[in-house]
Amino acid sequence: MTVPIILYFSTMPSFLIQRILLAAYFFALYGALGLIAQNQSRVTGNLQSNGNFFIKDEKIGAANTPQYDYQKFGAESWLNLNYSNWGFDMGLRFDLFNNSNLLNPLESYTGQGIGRWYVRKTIDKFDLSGGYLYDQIGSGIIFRAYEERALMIDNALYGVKAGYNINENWRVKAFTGRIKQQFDAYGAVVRGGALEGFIKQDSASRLTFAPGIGVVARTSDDETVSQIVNAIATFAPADSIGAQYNTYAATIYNTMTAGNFTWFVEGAYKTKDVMNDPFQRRADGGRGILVNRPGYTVYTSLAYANEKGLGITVEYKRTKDFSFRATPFRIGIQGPLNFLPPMARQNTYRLTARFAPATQELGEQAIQLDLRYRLNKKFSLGLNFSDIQLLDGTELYREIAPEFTWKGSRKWQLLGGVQLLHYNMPVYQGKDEPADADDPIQFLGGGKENYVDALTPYAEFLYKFTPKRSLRLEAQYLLTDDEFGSWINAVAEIGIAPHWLFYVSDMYKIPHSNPENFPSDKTKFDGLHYPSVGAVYTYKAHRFSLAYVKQVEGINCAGGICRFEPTFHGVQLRLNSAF
Amino acid sequence: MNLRTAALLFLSFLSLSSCKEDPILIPELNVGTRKVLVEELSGVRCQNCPDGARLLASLQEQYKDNLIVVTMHADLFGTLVKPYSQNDPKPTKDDFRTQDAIDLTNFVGVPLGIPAAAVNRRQIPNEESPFVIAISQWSGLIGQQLQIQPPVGVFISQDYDEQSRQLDIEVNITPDVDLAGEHRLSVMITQDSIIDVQKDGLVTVEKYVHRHVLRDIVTRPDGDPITEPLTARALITKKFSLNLPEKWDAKHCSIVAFVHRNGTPDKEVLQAAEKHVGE
Repeated sequence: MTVPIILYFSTMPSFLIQRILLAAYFFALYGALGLIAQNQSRVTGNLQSNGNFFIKDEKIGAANTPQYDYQKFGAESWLNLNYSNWGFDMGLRFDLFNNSNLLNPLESYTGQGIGRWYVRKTIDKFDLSGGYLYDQIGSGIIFRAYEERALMIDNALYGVKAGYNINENWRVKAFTGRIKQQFDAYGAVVRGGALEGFIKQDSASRLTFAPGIGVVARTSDDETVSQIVNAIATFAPADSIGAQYNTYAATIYNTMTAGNFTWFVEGAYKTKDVMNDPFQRRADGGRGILVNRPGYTVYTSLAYANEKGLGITVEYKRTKDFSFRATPFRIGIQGPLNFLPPMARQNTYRLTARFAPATQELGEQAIQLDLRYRLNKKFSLGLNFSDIQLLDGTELYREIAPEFTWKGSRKWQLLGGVQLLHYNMPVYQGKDEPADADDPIQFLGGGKENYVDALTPYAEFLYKFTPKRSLRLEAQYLLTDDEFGSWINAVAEIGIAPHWLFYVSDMYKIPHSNPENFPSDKTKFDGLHYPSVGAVYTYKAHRFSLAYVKQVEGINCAGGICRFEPTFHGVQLRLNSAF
Repeated sequence: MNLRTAALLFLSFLSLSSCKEDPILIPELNVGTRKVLVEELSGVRCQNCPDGARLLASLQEQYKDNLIVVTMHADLFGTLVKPYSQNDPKPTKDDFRTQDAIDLTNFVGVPLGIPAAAVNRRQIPNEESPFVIAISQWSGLIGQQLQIQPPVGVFISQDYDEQSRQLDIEVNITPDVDLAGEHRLSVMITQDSIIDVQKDGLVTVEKYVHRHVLRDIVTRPDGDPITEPLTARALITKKFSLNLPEKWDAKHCSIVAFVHRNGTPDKEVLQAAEKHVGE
């Protein structure tokens, strides 16, 4: 009976569904709590809450948003409850946004309600689920429904999914639904499926394969097609394109493991799709127009690791016209159906993470190498290299980052490294970067027009006074004449296990030695401090933090649209709790 | 194995069974009496903004007087909107930023970034703001709006004295049907063809032609409430008077007036009109 009930739900108004579900859920939960001693029922959950107190400071640009000007406080919270019994899994998540700047850093967003619900039942070899579902096919190139709260990404599939285990090694699944958009869903209907398997010749074999194929189709809604058609009607004949309701994407992938080697490869193709190309020239000379083109992505990753401490991973990706969204009019993090793997490492230090490359879904080719080698118990080396280009060979991003870790004794450990960066400013941030004859790292080829060239040494030192008391120090120095110039950042963190962590940090803009030679925009942060101080308290699975934070502004551009990320100045409260 | 074959057939069916669809016909747009207002957010350091301006100029060639554009420089987007200072190689001569632009943008809804355009302030379902940041979406929205019959007429007459620079404006509002709910009238002054610095792609253009720049909102930024009942065939007249500052070139100034709703989130513009000063 599960499937007909879910299908009936999908035709009902969402508020009605929410109320019925809420009542049913708490009825089930109440019953479960009463019967918990008798049954195999299980209740789990977690709560994440963020509270931001905004303190206006016009000098650093912390002003002119509703939060700074008059609201003064904003919050986000997610309360998640999961319940399992009688072969059912079900869950409900309450989402709350009060004067939040997470959706749009320049605006205030308020909304609350059921952010997610799902029901799942396993019957023999069948696996049936409905509601807001997270899933992916392969590495996510043609389909990935996932959540990333810090970026306000929640593109769950609001629909149904059926899976079938053909045998212990092969499984097939199919799904249909719409992509979540805050407390609603985009109009486009998505359907798809995948067949995945695992092949091993015999139990002694070190050679295994995990192949898979998948397909996804998206049918645009009438409103979107109407907008596309009306847009095309205004195009000059030279710009005119056709349009269609349906776009199909297919992928084939395999993971091969042979001894110490692991090789993943995936190739995906997408039929003609109306996409927003912000860089395509129009007949009137401007840029930014709808295009209707097929696309493809090839991604492969080869990894080797042995017991002697050597680990190598090499990745390659080539993407052409693989923007796959609920509507072509959504950009950046809005409305994607898929996920293209990033080809640069995720930097964690504040200054090494200052220039991050956004995936260019309309075309890029990239290679990444990551190498780790443990020389002995005390000393290990690492090297990360990534290079990203447009398909015409234009350099977008190059990062070379060698580093070492030295475990001096049980008491202390030192990590050190340097990041060499070459970063295309117009493509990633929409800003120009003039040639600079006085660039301090010309010996590394710095000073080129349109690029930020930076040299960032970094170090992290951990000292354990006792098994429960530790001190962690980190520092980075970003050396460049590009963008706003050089910065320095330092953090000191004291840990008193198992409950307390205290930290203080400061990011300081080193003044230009000759500011009169630079435009005012380049020197506006000269001499400013951006300090933070905070405390974290952890008790079992509960974590509470309180911090005073001052963060510098930045501009992030994606798809030709620039998003201004304003300075943050205020107090942040965080609560994470699992039960 | 049979099940596996069946699964493969199922997936093939899923992907290919409905590949063929009837081609979508691209219609010819019929333009009636509807005048569409585009409020564009721009900035002098915004390198993508001229692309939006060029698209709107191209559409104005197509739709002539049926498309009215107002370009606002609202100081809400950090450095993208800041004028070039005297320390910059090509300093800005005129600061286009106004408090009116900030207030109006806050009233309509601040977008994620610029360039952005609100087409008749039409609220797209599930969107936070009527300002649309994907340039490629603008022409389709304009095309949709042009085909809607306006429920109200808006007509401007004006009298401009070149000596005193006094501008008297009269706006006549003539509903075709009874309109319920709160409606407002907004009246703006724009100036066209201002030569000044603008970032255009990677180039800082010293003599860029800035179009339809918002100079002043004569009414309240969120519009003056129309207190008279908007009944069919009624005539409502509103009068305004102001002195144009010396630095505004009167021969390139225009009056833009429009009637709009004042709901939340429905602030849709029902009809607009534009008249050149001294015309």
